Amino acid sequence: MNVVSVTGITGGVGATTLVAQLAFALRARGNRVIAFDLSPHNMLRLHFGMPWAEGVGLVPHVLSGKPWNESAYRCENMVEFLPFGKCSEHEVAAFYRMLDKNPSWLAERLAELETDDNTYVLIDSPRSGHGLRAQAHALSNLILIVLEADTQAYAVLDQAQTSLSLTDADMAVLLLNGFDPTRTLDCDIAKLLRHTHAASLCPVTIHRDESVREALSSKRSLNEYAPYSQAESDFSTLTTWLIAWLANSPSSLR
Amino acid sequence: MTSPFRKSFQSVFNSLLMACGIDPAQSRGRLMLSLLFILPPPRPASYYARFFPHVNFGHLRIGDTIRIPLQFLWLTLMHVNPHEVQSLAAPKIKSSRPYVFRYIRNRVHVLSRRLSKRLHFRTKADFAHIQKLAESAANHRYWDNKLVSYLAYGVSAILALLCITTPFNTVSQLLFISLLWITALVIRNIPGQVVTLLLMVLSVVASTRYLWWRMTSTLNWDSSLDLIWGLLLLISELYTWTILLFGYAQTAWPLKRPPLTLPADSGIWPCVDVFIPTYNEPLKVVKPTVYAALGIDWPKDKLNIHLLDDGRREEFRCFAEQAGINYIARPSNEHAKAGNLNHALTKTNSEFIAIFDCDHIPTRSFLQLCMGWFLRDPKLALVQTPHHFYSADPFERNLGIFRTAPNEGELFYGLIQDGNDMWNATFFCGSCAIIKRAPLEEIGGIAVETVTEDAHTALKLQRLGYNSAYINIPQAAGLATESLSAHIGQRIRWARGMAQIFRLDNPFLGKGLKWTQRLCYSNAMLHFFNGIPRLVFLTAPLAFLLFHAYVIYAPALFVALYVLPHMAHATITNSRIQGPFRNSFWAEIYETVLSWYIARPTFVALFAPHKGTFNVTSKGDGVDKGYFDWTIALPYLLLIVLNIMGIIAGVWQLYSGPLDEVPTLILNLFWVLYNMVILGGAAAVALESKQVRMTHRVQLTLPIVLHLTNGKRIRGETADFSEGGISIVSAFIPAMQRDESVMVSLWRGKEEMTFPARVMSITPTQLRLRWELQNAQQESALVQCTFGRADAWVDWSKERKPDKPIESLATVISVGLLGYRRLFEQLLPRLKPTLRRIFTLNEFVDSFRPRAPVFMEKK
Repeated sequence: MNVVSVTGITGGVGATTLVAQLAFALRARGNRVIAFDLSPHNMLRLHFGMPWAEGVGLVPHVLSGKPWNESAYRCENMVEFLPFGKCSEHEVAAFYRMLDKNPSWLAERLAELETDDNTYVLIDSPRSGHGLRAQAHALSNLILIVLEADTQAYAVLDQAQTSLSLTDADMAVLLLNGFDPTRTLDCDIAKLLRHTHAASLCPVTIHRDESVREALSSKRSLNEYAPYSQAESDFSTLTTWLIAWLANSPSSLR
Repeated sequence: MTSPFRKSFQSVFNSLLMACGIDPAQSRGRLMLSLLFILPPPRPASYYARFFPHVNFGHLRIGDTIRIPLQFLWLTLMHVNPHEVQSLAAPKIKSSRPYVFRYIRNRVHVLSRRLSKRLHFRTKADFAHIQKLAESAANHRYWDNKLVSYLAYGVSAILALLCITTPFNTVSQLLFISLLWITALVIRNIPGQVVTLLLMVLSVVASTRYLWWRMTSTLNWDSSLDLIWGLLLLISELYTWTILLFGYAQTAWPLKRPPLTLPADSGIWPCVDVFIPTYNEPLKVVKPTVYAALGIDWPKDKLNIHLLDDGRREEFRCFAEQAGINYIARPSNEHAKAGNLNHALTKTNSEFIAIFDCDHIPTRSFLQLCMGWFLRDPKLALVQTPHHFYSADPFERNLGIFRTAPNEGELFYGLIQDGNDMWNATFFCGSCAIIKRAPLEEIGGIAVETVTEDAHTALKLQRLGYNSAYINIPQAAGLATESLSAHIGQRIRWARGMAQIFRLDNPFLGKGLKWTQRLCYSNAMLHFFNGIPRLVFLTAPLAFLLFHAYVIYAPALFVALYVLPHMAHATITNSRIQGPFRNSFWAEIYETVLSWYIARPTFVALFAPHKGTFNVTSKGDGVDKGYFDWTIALPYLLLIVLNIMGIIAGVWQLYSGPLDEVPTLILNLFWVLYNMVILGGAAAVALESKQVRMTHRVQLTLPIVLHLTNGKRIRGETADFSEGGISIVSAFIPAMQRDESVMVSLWRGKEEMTFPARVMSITPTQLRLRWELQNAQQESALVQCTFGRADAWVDWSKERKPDKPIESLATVISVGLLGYRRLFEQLLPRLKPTLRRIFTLNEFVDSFRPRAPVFMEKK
């Protein structure tokens, strides 16, 4: 089982979209994919075609004592995902309190899954919710930190290690998303990142492509909607890189 | 055993059955049933239509009433192999060439291919194993023993003397040359260096034997006319033999020097000055060179770029200022480029100097690949890299062979310089090289005594004991000469310069050079003396046909038995050595085109070396419209006329002359025909084809991103690019209008850069764009993303097929015939409509000819 956490360095950098696209791409190569949405915004399910009104999810199930795996859904293309669920603030807080008491809760849940080497668990880790994110990072083989090429992201990056509570920096890879080379600032920040963070920067850059937003609006995967777009090519390359990285990383030999 | 009659009847019957959709391989009973009761599998009408490829069933014509039955009859009676094609979709555009020429050309090619297959012995022998055996035998330690090696030299010298000087009668000579030929044919399949050397030995034996025989038994001392012709021919053949031998020695073992990595600490890397001399070239030719030089990977504080402007132009000075490079101009123009470089030497002071012609665009890895050797060898004064051309030279453009066959310059830059490097005799070629300042100043700067200042400079450096190196990786590319007259002008200058060096600073005389270096330099210079020998060869048979002078005073049979092995061995040995760099028999055309023009300058320069002026090769002009260059072609036409007169005289003598002269006549007629073909090829090159675009397109596949205005990004690849535009292929071309704006991303290493462009033309699979760059920074970035790529020229010769002598000969023959066709068209323009009508009639008649059905290739 390969566990990949995806966290955005700030909000709105496209981490959730990335999880969805990675799920589709990995599935297209014949792997089993389970996507966890651990972000209270509960947006990942929309990429998989779940109706907006549905409130079913992991957290409501757990809080009401139902078996957690019954909140999972399976798409047409066999991607399995667990939505966060529609919760009020109190419910979210209660869930976090439960997690604080049980630091290995997520690990136990994942251990209950029947998996093999070709299973990829993708976790959309939240910006908030320190405890849940820490647990997710603790059992990840790879942590993708998503950022866009702007000054805010670069400024936050310095504190990323502490703010994101990364226990093992070797597993953290910075991924530049929404890159628009027609804009000067994007090019300059990208150059700066290549210079200062060369060791932890992912060699694949995801371009800003309108096809991605339009694909979500039409509730189709990018591969169906715009197979020849640059974004699709980027996600495909990223998936290849991901599979190779996970196969060669020392943590996979655990 | 069935009789042939029964067999043919069977095959006719089977084909009839198959046409009806019945499988003839069934049992008799089923066959009978299928005839009457079982329906054939339904096939669409298009299946049957493919049996009639020359009939368009959608648009039937009156003539089809004859075509269809004729084809049907032909299919049933003849055993036909269907013609398999990649796709049925693309209809063949009707060629404007008359059918007769195409037919002849196709037959010649098919026959030549069959002949070359027959001559290639197919065995199951393990050639790699034999190669290993041969190499281990050659590397054996017994050869290191001085006594053994001297003994071997002695024995081989005696054997060589025997082989070369023993006179044979006809039968013995035939036996001897057959043995040589069979040995050559058998061993030529084995790869490796040992066999190349063996083939060289066989060729040298055959050629020296021929020459010995010529010198001892074929001169007619009685008749003075015969003697003069004979001596002329003999001297020409001696020259060719010398060049052949020197050439073998020069190219026996190309060094293939690899680049050396520089030390990791860039602090100890030396400083380099980049000189870009220019005189009268337009700014747009020089700009890409400067931009690419700015992109060379080298510490910025150790790289200085200087634009040396002999034209003292204001726009160049402004451009240099904007680009941030140094501008050097001098008050006078004496000694042309050499003087320009020498003047710049006084104004700069880096340890190394890289020189680029103003149109040679360097790649970013130039210094990285070349400087390593300087740090390893303190005595190294020169590193030269190949001159690569990304546009077609006059031969390629006018004959339409761009990128299908190696061009004229590739023999020198691909093989000869590499062979020179083995003997430490690489010489400077004027551009794409790095010279060390100290040795250069020791010899007083670039040499100014001759017009080929580059080779002379290298000669002087080597005389002082400095080394030179050649790295056979194209790291810069430039424009080839634009027209045939410009090309010939350039070669005249080189020929004159080399003859001047030969006269003023002969490599055989003077101290400081090893004998192998002398040989290599002399060969480079002697090569340019081929004008007069080539002219002699082109006119020698006429001496007999027109003047009845026996230039070779020997029976025709003997001549054939001596000449043919000499030519055949030289051909296959040169094909082996030079194959990837020059196809066989093309040297004849290249030399013939130049022969007339370099004959006089070299002759004059040999006796009066200081006469003659430096004429600058014009760059970047282009040919406006197609025209036939009569001035250039005049000498070839004269020779063609002479040869035609020779043919007429020869044929007349064949019928009316004495019988015992017939073999000699036939031999000379064949020789004249061969000369005619070569001259036809030379005339074909004189038809300058129109150069459609001013900026030359380079075919290279690079990944790009297309940025549309609606925010979408499309993945694609370049099909070709030029300074003015780019052509993109993608699996999905969005619907776009002409003149729509887009942005295109290209990469320079990891950095992605975008450039604005406008749509020029759009097809479902390809998009052609015109650049709309807004500032110098974008222009610079574009050059660095395309021409400046380190791998821009690596795949240039990927699509080429290996050299096959007989097929190459067939190509040369077809080029020769093409020349006559072009001459004919130019000379008789008024006859063109009539000719066209005749050819149309010919095509009409040919449309009735039955032909093989066309099917898709089975994957």
